[in-house]
Amino acid sequence: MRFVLILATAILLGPIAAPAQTNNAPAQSRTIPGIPLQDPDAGDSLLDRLDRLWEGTKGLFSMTATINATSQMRGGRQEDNDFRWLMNIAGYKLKEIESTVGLIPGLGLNFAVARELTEADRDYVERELERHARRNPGPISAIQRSIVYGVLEASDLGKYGIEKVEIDLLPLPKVKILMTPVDAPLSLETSRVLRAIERLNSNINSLMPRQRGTQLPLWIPEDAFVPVSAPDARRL
Amino acid sequence: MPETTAPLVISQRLISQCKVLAFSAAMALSVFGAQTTQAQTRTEREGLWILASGSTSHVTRELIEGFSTSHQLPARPRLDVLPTPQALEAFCSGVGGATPDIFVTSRRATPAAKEYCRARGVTEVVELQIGIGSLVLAAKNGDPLNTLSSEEVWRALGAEVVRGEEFVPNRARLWREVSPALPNSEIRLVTAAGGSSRAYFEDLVLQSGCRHNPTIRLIFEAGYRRSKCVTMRQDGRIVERRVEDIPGEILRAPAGTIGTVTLSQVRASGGTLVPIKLDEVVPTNATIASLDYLPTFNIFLYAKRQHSRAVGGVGVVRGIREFSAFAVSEQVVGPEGRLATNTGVVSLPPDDRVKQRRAAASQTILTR
Repeated sequence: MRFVLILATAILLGPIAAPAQTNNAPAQSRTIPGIPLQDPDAGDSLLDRLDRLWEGTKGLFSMTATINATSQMRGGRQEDNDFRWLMNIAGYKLKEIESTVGLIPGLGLNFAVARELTEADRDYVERELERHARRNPGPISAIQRSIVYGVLEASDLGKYGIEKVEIDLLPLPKVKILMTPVDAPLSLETSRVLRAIERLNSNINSLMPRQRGTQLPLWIPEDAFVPVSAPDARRL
Repeated sequence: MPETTAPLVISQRLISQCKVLAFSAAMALSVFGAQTTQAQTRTEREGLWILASGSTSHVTRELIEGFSTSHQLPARPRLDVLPTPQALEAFCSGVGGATPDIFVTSRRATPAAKEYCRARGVTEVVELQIGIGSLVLAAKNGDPLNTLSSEEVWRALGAEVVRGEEFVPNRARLWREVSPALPNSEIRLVTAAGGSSRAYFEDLVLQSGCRHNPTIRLIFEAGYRRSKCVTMRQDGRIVERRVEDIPGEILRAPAGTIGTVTLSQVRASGGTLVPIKLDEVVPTNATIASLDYLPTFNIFLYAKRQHSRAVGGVGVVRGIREFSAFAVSEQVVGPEGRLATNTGVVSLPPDDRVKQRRAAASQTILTR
């Protein structure tokens, strides 16, 4: 049993240790100068690898706040593989990042509606997705685009509005689109607030004529204010 | 043993002969049946009924012209030019001789539009992409104003500009006031009074220029945001002309005047007009096809497959399949094709053209 464990460990660690040994041998025999081969980091433990995997996964959806140094802005357009950018032009803004540290780490992005799209905005998003597809043909980019397409199509259903888009990256990728009917019933709190506003409005309307003693409208016509010229002002 | 095998061989021959006979009889019957069906089939309409949005009317006319000359038609196709929403409503109003067969537009059908169609029984629609159209800003040859960003165009021509976080009336007189790198000439624009050309300028240049402004981005409501982006100044710096008169007006106007034209108009000017580099990209066939040049739009053709079929011996019209195939054929949408030469429409990349031809041949139904 112990032998099996040792063998398994050797198989797992073999590829990590092997390059260090093979790199040294040709360096001694050859004399051609060139870029030296780099040994793996000394602290390349399993945890380091997991950490890199974590960072790499985060990088897939460009969720870091800083913009990549290689990205360029042209006409307000960010020319990199940025999922956040695509969601942003589709009218959704990153609201929350949920990360869980544990044996099975969890990572999720929550987007909320930032603005409605005009017809031209929608065309623009479709063009950007087309450009994105031509420049980034990989599978991850395709997933990113399909999420944005999905959100775009869902937001086009007249009777429903998207309230929230939740994207889980880890442990398993998942997209959750929270849609609510446009004429959804109000919550208890909201309806209380609305009723209070209505009551306040009716109170103001009932009080206004009694206090002033006249039936003044709530709006004052523009011609009610006559500009006073300088001599008139002096007379006054 | 031989006595028993002989009748077996004979019977096998008989069976195979019978099979051949049966097959030939079936073939003959099917051919005869097809002929009778064809003879009995009649159509509700003789000519195709095509709808076009204002932006694609010239392309559609060109398609109809080419199709009519290259095919023997019982009647010339009817063309109705309508604004996109009305055209879509008419196209999706139902199935039958009283409804149109084909719709050419510069806007892809949205899921809501597809749903609208489906709800009215228009369930078999073929979508084909014909090519890429573009809007070009041009100036007189020799004018120092030869490069602009869409944001500069918006800041120069919008009725209001953003100062701090407020909208104030636009008082800029010179291009240099918009950006120090621009020439010291008066701001002036020649554009179409209405129609597709004006709509494209508003959607593809002005909205593109204001879209990324932080104050504009804070506006949630689409209609209000659009009005802030596309409302142009009214102090005489915007000159409205008919589309065909715009090139001449630019040539007569003082330095600093730009105009909204098509790529074909720039080419037809013989070098007197030069396209302005917009957002650092010069409009050429290559930059338009690669989507590097931003103010571009796709041209789509939607055809009702249900109209090209006979139900109970009655079909709506003949020629839908042929028109679709013609509209995406190399002689029409290729780099040297009819549309590229006569309308300035830029061809799709070769792979995409092949894909569209395949879709037209198989009459692939739109699903997404």
